[in-house]
Amino acid sequence: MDEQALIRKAQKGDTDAFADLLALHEHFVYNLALRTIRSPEEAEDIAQDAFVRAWQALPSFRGQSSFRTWIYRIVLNLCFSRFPRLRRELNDLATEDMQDLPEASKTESDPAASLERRERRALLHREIERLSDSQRLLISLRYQDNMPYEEIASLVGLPLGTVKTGLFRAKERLRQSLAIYECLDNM
Amino acid sequence: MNEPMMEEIDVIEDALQTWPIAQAPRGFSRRVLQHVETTQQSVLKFRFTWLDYALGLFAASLPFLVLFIWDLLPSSFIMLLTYRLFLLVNSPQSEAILIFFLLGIIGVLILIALATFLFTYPKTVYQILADSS
Repeated sequence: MDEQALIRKAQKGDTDAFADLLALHEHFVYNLALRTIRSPEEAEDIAQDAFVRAWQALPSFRGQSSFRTWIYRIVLNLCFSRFPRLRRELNDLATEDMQDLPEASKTESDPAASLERRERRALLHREIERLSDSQRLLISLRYQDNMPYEEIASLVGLPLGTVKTGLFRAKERLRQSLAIYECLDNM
Repeated sequence: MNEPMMEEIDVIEDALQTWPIAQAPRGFSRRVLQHVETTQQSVLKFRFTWLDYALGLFAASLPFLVLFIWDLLPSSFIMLLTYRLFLLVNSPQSEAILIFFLLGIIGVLILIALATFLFTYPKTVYQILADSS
């Protein structure tokens, strides 16, 4: 059964259809909460609350956005109300000095380079965890959900330029961490 | 842009794209469904606002307002109004005016009936809308 049919049935109070929707989205919803606020307990609580609120509000869901975007909005509103500093942090992302980093090129590498690449990837994953909450939120939406910049901007309620700046600064910080790591590695 | 810079960007993009998606804890969906089964879905709710009360009060006071103003008008002006009304009623277009007036009243009554139905049976209205979409 497709998602639209599940939504229509769930809107009429069918809990089995809602269970199927839950199975489709639970990991993404929990992931967004966890990547944004880091605490697994809080993330689970927010994700659970988001699904219950989604169930309550489902009759008013008109399908103007995808179900996932709609429930993400609920997750973010819960995050903003429980952690007001997240909203402030997002608002503080200034738009000046914004540039786009070029897209990555696809390159084949030898096994040794591949091993090094894996090490650097692990390091960067740790560094992503150390970014600010707002930067992790933007990265999660952009790279884990493949959301276009415009949709992210609409979801978090920020201008498009601010979203791009936030992502640029996050990448810039990762680049600096990588540079320090490589400098230490060459010593 | 030089080679090392391009390589750095490649590595960063690769790390961002491979940042793992966290899995929801075991039993998460079961716990959510336990909550859902004891939670009522909200229906379309119609609530009165201060504007509704203000408009209601204004509409209710209109007949009294008309009577009050009528009493305040000078008798010469009342005579003039009565004469105009007499002309209107006896004019050849009076039937058309009466028909439009009645149609207007019927339209307003239909709107009031619809609003009353929406207010009284919001869930039924919602189901009709959901089935038609």
